[in-house]
Amino acid sequence: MALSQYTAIMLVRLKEQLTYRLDFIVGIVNPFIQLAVLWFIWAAIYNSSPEPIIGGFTFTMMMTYTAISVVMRSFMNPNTEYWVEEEVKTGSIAGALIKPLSYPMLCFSRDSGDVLSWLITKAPIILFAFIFLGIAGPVSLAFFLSLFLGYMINYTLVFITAMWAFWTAGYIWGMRLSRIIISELASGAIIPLSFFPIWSQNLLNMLPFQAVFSAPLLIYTGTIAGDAVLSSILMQLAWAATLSAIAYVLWRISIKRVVIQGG
Amino acid sequence: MPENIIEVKNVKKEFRTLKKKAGLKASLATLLSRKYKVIRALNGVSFEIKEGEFVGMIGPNGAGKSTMIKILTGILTPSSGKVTAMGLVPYESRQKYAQNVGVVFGQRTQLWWDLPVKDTFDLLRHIYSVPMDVYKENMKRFTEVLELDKYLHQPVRKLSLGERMRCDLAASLLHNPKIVFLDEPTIGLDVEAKFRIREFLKEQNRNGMTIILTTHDMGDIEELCPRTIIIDKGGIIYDGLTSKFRERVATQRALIVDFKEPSPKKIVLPSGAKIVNREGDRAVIGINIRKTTVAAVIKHVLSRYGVDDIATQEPSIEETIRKIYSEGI
Repeated sequence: MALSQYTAIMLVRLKEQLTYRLDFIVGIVNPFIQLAVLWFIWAAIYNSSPEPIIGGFTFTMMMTYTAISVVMRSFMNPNTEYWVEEEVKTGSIAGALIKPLSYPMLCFSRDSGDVLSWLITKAPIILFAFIFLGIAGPVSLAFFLSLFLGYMINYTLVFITAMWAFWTAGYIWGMRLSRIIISELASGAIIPLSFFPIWSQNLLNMLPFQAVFSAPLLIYTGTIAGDAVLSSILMQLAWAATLSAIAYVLWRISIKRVVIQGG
Repeated sequence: MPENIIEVKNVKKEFRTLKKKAGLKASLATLLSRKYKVIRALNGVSFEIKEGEFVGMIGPNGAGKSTMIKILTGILTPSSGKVTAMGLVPYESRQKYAQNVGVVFGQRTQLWWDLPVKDTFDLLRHIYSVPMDVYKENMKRFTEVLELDKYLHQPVRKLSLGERMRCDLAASLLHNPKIVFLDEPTIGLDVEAKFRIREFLKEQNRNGMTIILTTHDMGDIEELCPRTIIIDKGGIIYDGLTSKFRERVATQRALIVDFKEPSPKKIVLPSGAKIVNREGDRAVIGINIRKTTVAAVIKHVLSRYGVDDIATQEPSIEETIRKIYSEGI
């Protein structure tokens, strides 16, 4: 069977992921813990509030938002920053550069392999949420398109952060941490953006992070509908195109700076 | 006459590195103001390699060999000068060029660490789009010559250095590359593994593969490479026949003799041999092989003195290069 280069890499990465058993089990349990913690926090907030609707969300809507967000977060976790950092730091990037492969595509296909393995580890939380918590399905099927675009936008953001490794001899831990913290808060992954003051909502809506979580989640919960869905998806497309272009240019500049460390 | 497959013209490569001093105070200072210094790794290197050649590249650590190999493989871009290989500029058409090139970096592996070796081979078949029949035939041949069958189904992390190196070598040749670069492929290997790898490389070269090898082992060069390029301080200091270089430069051998106690006070030696160093029962005898032979000196010593142990030593690459500087070729 002759697979395309990148499909083959994706499948090998999937195979490799399945060899770590403990990691595999932790990956199954993790989202349950996250969901439980957020569940109790939101329950406490809604119980102590005189209003049944906060920031436009009823408690049921909020739990749907949170459950889907927890599942999404476990997929929006590419390892590309970690790999690029490691490969630049140790010089093992040489092994990738001697192959007839595009390095950005190599990174992307490795991460796609991880996503495939997460489909297995995250199946329990998805089943649990739908069967035992009675989480509703997506209001509009446009959610899936929006989810895919969100994934691509998140990936390009991660790739852009990873490019710093070429400029710092492979030390991007601080950059990575900042990227994670900013995108957790600014994307609406934990708290819906409608909970923020208006001025900061306006600011956050101008940044790409909200296109990763908030946009698909608002479509899922039906908070936005009709033309608003269409313009939200167009906004995501624009971000995906812009960020991909930036990532590509950064890659072309960064690779010229490559120094193979350690002999 | 075979065609040139690689042409290197006046290649220079500079690296900019941060100047850092030791100590906490100096570390804090570098946070505020940074000073860079330019290191010139290659200082105008030119040479040509013909199709089917087996060329050895030697030189002391930090001489610029590895930088040269990395430019030739398309990983690094030279600061100035030009490289063409198989009609392409490696660092400009890296992906296309890589399709016909095989590379082994002795100090790192390109095998997938946590998976059985066989899985990496299979992945490489897809990456280089190797047709199934070619893949099967190569696998069969490599397995036989390099004796891989015992390791094929083991995860790479469980292999010894020698085993891993054999697998790495096979991995780099699966797609029948036209040019192969080997950066210290025998580093740290035992005699058996070295022998296997040398035999394998000889066979590949007979089949028309162009091979460029860097090494620290003069044995590799003498056995494999008719032509030697010596690089030192970023420049080529010798490019020619290995045999000629050997003959002209390596005229010295050392003989280490441990005498039986009580060791003789004065040792008489034939002409062309002299005591270089004497420490207790051990003497190091320098032999000029233009004037006499190692065998004649051993015979001379054994017939006159009681000896516990005797060993010969070849000059190291570093010594040889020092000699080129002091005496010329």
